[in-house]
Amino acid sequence: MSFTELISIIRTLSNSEKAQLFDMLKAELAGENSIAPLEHDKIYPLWTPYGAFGAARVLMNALEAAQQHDHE
Amino acid sequence: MSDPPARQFPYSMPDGALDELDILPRVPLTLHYREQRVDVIGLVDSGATVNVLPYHVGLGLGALWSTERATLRLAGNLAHVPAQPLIVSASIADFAPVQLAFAWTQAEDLPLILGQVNFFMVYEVCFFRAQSLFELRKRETG
Repeated sequence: MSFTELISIIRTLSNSEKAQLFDMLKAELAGENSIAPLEHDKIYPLWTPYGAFGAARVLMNALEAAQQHDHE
Repeated sequence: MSDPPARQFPYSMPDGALDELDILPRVPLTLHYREQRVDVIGLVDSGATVNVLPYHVGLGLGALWSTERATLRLAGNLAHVPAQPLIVSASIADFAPVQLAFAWTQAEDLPLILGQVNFFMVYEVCFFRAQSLFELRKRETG
């Protein structure tokens, strides 16, 4: 299908369908132009322990105990 | 020993990284525990709740895995890996040594992570990603 044929088909669409098509193309373009492209099938490991607040509290207690021990 | 005002470090590529998109804020540091010392690279990770020490680094420092020590429960990829607290002394560049509290984990295949407790409590950190730099400044106490 040529570009001219495609345009003539798009012109037959309703306004809501044109808006839907516009949103879809905009999302596709944003993906292609992203600043840091993510590669298909590449593994991106995330080791970060998010939200380990209980562990954080235990570590702070251990640190305070170690510092107290150093001062004695 | 007085601390320098601030030190800048370049982002660098971890092992296995393929190109410059993979650079990360990594800082060289020396860990001391009793009579042992180990030179390591730490990932400065503002999203991490805690510092995390890979198993082999703890062993390199001569630490013993003790069933009597408190057990830590981590999150994310580390949720099912046992961890326990380990307090070590750490030296970065020409800053005075500081005590860092690590969740010493039995996981091996992970970087040494410098997180909110307590790395970010000791150092102020500014990231300049567009310049591939980050800056450390020792937090003023008292």
